[in-house]
Amino acid sequence: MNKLLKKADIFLILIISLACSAFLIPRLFSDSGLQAVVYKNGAEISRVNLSEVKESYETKLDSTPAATLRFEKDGVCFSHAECKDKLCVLTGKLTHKGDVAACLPAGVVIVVEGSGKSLPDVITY
Amino acid sequence: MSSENKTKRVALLGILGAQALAVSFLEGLLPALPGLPPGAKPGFSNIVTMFTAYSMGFWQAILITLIKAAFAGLTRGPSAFLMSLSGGLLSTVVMYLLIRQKRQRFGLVGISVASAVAHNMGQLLAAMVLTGTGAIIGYLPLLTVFALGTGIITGVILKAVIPVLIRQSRFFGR
Amino acid sequence: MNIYALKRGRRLLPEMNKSKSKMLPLIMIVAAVALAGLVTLDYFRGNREYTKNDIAMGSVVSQKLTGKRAQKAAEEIINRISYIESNNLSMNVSTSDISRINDKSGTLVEVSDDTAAWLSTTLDVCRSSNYALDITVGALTKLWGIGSDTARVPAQSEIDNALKTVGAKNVYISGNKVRIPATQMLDLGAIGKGIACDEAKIIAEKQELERAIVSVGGSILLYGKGDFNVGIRDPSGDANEYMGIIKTKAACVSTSGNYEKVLTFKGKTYHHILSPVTGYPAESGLVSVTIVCDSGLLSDALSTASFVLGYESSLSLLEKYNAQAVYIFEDKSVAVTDGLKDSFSIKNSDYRLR
Repeated sequence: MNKLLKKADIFLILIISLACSAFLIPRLFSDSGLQAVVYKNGAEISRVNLSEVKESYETKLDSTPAATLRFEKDGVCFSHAECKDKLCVLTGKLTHKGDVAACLPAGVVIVVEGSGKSLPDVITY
Repeated sequence: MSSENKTKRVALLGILGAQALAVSFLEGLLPALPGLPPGAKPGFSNIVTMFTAYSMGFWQAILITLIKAAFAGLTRGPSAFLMSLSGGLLSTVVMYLLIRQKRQRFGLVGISVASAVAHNMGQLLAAMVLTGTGAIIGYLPLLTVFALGTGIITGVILKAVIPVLIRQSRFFGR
Repeated sequence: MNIYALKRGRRLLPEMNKSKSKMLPLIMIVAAVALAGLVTLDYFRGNREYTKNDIAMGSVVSQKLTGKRAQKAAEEIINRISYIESNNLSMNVSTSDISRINDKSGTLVEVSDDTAAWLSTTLDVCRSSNYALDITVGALTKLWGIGSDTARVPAQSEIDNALKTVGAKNVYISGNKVRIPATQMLDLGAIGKGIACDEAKIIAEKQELERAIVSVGGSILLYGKGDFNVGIRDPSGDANEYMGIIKTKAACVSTSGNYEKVLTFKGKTYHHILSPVTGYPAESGLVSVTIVCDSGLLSDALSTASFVLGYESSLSLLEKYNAQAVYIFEDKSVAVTDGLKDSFSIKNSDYRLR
């Protein structure tokens, strides 16, 4: 069979490493930002670093009922939802660490995480 | 090929398939790492797939891939089946293409890394289809680094166990 | 790669001698591990807090756990909550203990140990609250349907008929066997989330977590050493605004408020906490009451009871169960029980202490 390691292997590894570092290293440094974390049916499906958002944009989730999220530099919100009571949309923009919005019928939950402490740990309602 | 040889070949494939499943199962017991999607596992069972691709051929390696995907589907459900299948197929195809190159550019480590990265991409594609969002692609850089590391380790382990696997194959007349 | 390869140029594949080929893979493994380590370090750097968000019991279950087995605990907790919902408590799953009791009302039904224990404790609170809390309001809540697609304002006669079936004092329970009068219906909606918090606590202990904050639709488990800061939702603000903060050690916190589930009809708003006496949404002058207690079931039960009873009448009930409370009145004034006087502070100047 083959030799274990050839020149081309090392190039391959180097190229992949460089490509990934290009994406990862900026993230290592911009740690002081807020992150919007989106869960669908209990699983984390997306993590958006809000400080990296240059222009606000919307993403339509493939949920039933369908929900559209809007990511902005300072926060995230449900901009539109096809559920009946639209509580998710009414929650408004999430701008602080710990803010939560959810569309129960769609199984979608958005939570804002971030570095740094902020009062309170949790809100009772 | 005589029917006795055919039987021996099927038996060998069965053993290899079982070995791939055993490694997959043991890997599955590892806790998920933070920052990575819960399904991400080192993929050491690739050792078996690579050996099969080298010593027996493309379709035999595909068979191992299918066995793994079926196992994932039976034990963890339809979405696990899709992820394993899409990752496994992409990985095996890439692996085979590199192995069967006229000019052997890549060594074991390179092929292992390439197929590990391809495996992750296949899984990510399946995950995007399953969850219906493209946003999940954010995991790609981190997953690729992970695949890089495990690909290297897998390649080294493969090199180390080749003598054992060859002896196993000889037992079946190959 | 050795120097001979470099000398001869790129076209020749380097012949690695034995000792070199042993070194290089080793170096690559070290490099790979180092890279993986750096990356993992980045993610560990923030804190070892594991968060998980799911939906169960018709609400968001939000977990923030710290500990070696945090992830395992988080998965166990949400699984357990889903399990007790469908197996014990749900009125919608026909095979749950409560559904079976309801469907076979008038006959003796055997239930699980857990359900029997929970029913027992809850009936105790019902009695002590003079039935301001009554878990047999099932027919009434179903009639109004507030929070569901079929919410409506029932006719007086319908309410009267439903009220006839209400009466927790008629629930018979002995060991694991329960019997409710025919046509009566149990509704554990007032305490289900509190029970979920208690179950989460059991798992937190079992998995030796350092710290855990689990919110089940606003009913909260605080577990672990140190202080916790719990915000009380501003009744007139949106879901993430708080009007004050309670600083407390480990405990369970529950809130009953008239802003959570409402029905608006012909300009009037009807909230979901129905009085078992009048059959209409309870009017006690309160907009919300928050209970701090060491048991989740109790804090949930007491919050509903206190909301129905109102401020003065609930104080002795709270004393009996060693619970503390923050009351928010319709006029935006706030009352606090003695135990919380030093731990609660108002953050929104629209509100003031009495």
